[in-house]
Amino acid sequence: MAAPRVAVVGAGLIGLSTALRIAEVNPNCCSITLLSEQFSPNTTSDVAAGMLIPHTYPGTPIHVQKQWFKETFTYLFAISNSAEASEAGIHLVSGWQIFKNPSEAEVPFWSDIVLGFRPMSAAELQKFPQHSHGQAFTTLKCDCPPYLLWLEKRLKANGVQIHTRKVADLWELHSEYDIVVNCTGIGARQLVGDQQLFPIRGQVLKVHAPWVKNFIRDGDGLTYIYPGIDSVTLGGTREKESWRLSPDPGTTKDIFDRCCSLEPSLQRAQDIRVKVGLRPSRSCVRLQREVLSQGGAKLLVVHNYGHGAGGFSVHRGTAEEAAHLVQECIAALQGSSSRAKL
Amino acid sequence: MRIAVIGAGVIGLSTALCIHDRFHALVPQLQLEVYADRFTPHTTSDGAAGLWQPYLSDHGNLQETLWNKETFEHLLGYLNSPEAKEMGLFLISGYNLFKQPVPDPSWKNIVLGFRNLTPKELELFPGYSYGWFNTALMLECRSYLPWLTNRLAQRGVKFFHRKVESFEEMFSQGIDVVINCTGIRAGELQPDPALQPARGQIIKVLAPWVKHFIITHDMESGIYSSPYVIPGSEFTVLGGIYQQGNWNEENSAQDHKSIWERCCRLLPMLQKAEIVQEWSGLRPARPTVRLERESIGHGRSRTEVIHNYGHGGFGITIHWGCAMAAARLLGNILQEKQSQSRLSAAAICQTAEFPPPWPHTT
Repeated sequence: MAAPRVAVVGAGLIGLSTALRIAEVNPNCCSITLLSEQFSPNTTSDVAAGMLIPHTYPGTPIHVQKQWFKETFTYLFAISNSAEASEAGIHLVSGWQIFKNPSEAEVPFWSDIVLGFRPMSAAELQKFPQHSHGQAFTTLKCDCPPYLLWLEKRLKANGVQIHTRKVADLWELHSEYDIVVNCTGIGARQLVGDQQLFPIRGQVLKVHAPWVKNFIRDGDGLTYIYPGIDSVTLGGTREKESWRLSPDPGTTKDIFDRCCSLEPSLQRAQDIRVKVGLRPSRSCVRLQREVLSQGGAKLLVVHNYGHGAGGFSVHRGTAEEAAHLVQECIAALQGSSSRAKL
Repeated sequence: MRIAVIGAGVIGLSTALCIHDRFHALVPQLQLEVYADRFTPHTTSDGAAGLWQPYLSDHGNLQETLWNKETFEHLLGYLNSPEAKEMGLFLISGYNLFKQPVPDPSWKNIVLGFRNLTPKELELFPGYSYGWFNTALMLECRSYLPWLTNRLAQRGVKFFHRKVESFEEMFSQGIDVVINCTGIRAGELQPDPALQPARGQIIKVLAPWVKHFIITHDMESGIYSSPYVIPGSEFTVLGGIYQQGNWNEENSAQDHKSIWERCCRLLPMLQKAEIVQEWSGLRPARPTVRLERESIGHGRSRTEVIHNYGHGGFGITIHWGCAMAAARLLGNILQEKQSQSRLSAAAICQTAEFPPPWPHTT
């Protein structure tokens, strides 16, 4: 049987990292092509700050989410500590999560994976007079576009072909590919008709304020200040079921005001750029195999989408699982191929 | 009443501002002047990265620890104000690294969130087995000195760009009190064998992905002779040179190589950083800060000098505490002079809460 032909659809964080993992675990046994309509800097991933602070999926057991986060953190930690760090856009950042209500300040499931997690001292809290509790820790940030561009470079080095192509229907790929990995994020709503997938619109500001070295995340994370390599991301909004990609000026002012109340020096920020992303939200990430068939033809599909607000925090872990599912598909193809010979 | 501050580094300018704050309303005829041959960006202070951090041990010098604390708290008060960015003031977190356990520093309760490093954090720094994490402040002098200068100019303080050759020169021009903030060159005005240069060299790079300071320590070779990385608002400073007795202000190729190699070993990603500038400066090192009064001359031509120099590698860290102490000494001088002029004794006594004066240091 000829080497299985694998297509990964989607070139955001999930598509790129999944394609890379597939290439890493299947070095010689399949050809991999990445297809996408959009590439960095025009993906949803490019809008996100890329902070490794997990989002909790109601539909996934906590121990699984913790495992995904741990794999992702470990992977990125090693990169941040290497000479590649600057090119990959991965860096450590320390800061605070602050709360107005003590009940919000529970210890999260990921506290022992990030570095140095502890409650804030009274002296530290003086910087935030309206907040009574807080947690300090050090975590990682993946700056995009650099991280996505670095992943693309790694893909090419692993022999992965990359093509710009709009896929309107997964079945259109059945003659060219044996296995399709669906990493289309919010695009899956239309592509595979998944009604459980819905957008949560997020508007952010990217500003020039290079003296801001620490992150600040307020309460449940609606308002945040995340310092990156060349800009600080100020956020944000969570608008369920809004598909609007154009920035809203009233929202811009509101985000700016909320962030300035946490960090007054941001009043002096320059070069304010506004971006909008649609978080591909779902009660749990869809990580499963599917077989599409029409007539006698078959197409094996692996879905890896629906990461919502938590894509960066779990991307390596879900890529690992998706790569595993692809291996199962390859085994299934080889199994049926050898049965065909009998 | 003419007061001349000699020196326009962080010590001179902050002392001038503190004095003006305290006395301008009470002593209307107070005329404050600043004399220096080097102004920002050409002072020693301008070359410093600007990190607030005292040395590891205070050698029992509680006075200096208190001045450090006063400085930190004074700066914290400005942190949420609109002035912070213009001052070059911001919070920064980071790491102090050691090859063996060490006692906690005198400043552990001054900085924010001081704690030991976890084993996982130490994995980031092979070769170091112990360390601290805390949040401190950065005060970048290339912003802070202009900010101080503007405040002083707004208040009518006069600046004179010239080298002062002697205290007598000042007194012969009618200066009543001289505040000596001349840093490393104080010996040119009055010999002081205790004051020695501690030469430093730094490389400024573009490395905007570095968000933490990292200071390594080698307990045998001494403070700041081990690599350090300090990210500023625009550039990141790489250093690790502390050469006692070396007066050379020229950059050394050997020191450059040493800084670069050791910092890149500490933080491999620095290999890709673009070098923007190199600088050398002389820390005005002294066993203790010289902060005291001295009367010069005799009888009717008796004049007063307040010395405020010898802040080594912690001038920014200690500057405001020292400025306030110098202002207190000036307060004593003004109080003494009030019997010679018609100043109100009550007004002098009512100046902003003076904490109990420490004994004069030598």
